[in-house]
Amino acid sequence: MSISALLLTLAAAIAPGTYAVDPATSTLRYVVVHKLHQVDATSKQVEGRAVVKPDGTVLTEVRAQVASFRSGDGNRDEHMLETMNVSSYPYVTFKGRGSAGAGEVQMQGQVDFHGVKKAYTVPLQVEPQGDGALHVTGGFDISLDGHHVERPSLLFVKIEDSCHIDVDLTLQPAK
Amino acid sequence: MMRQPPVLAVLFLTIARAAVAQQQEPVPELLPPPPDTRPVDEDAIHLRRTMLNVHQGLGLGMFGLALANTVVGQLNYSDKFGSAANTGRYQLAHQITAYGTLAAFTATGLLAVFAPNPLPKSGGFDRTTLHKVAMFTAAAGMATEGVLGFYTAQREGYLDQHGLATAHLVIGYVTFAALSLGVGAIVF
Repeated sequence: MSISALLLTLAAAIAPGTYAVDPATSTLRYVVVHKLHQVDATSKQVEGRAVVKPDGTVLTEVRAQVASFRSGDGNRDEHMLETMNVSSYPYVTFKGRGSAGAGEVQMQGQVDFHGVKKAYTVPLQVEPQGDGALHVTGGFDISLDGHHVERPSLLFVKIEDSCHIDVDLTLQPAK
Repeated sequence: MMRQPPVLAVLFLTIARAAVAQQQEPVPELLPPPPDTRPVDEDAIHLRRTMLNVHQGLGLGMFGLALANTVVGQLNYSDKFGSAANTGRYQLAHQITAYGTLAAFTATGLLAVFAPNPLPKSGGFDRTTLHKVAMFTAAAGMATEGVLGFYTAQREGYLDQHGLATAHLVIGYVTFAALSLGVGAIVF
């Protein structure tokens, strides 16, 4: 099988149309690192849509309320909300485009976080499910300094600049 | 005679231009506008952060003072009841570290209690809950220690002073253990 035929087969695995993030089975997680420990917080209130065009282009928008992330420590979550100016910038949003296909997909787009938009390439693993849904997983790092976030500190030591974002989404064909 | 451009080159340029045009085209809004979130008092958030930062610094200083007080308290007990000497040389040091710990603990606690709460709280038992439970235990221990310490000092020459001092010592260790748990719950 030629490479182009293989690509066509992969692209064909994802039907054109609109897909919506299923909030019941989707999460966004961030991981930040402090010298004394690692903190991870998860949001289960994720909204998102993806449009797969007939030419194979995928447009996507995913967002979550910054206040919806939970780390298992209320004080720490509150501290993060304070440093992220949640009242001024209540959402973190990713908008991007890529090419439809099962397997590894690179999404080029912008993360709008803390009032600063920055371009990122997000490598995603796309697994078509039997019911027409798509299971999308992946991860990428953002710079807190790059988004003008005053990094929180514990014992007067700031957390590291890099914040890892993990994506675990189920996309259902929109009705 | 004009040279015709190679077909492949034209095709490549067309595809490249289309790709660039597509890259520059912004992604349209796919989601409806987000609902308005609850407005938050930014000044209250800033004040809270400042108060909790001071709480953190003062709390660590208080923890060091409490450690010193526990050590000096043990030395004072050993000097008075563990040896025949009873020199009283740790008594003043114990009083100073005890008053210092009590003052620092009160100030640290008041900073946390009176810090504004502009953000909604997430429910459930977490590290902060453990910190609060441990510090309430330590507060109860310190109040008991203060009363028992005064009373024990007044029982000079009475037979029950040794027993009271032992109780003071044990409660002191329990109080320090609660403080350690409270600090550890936040730090680790």
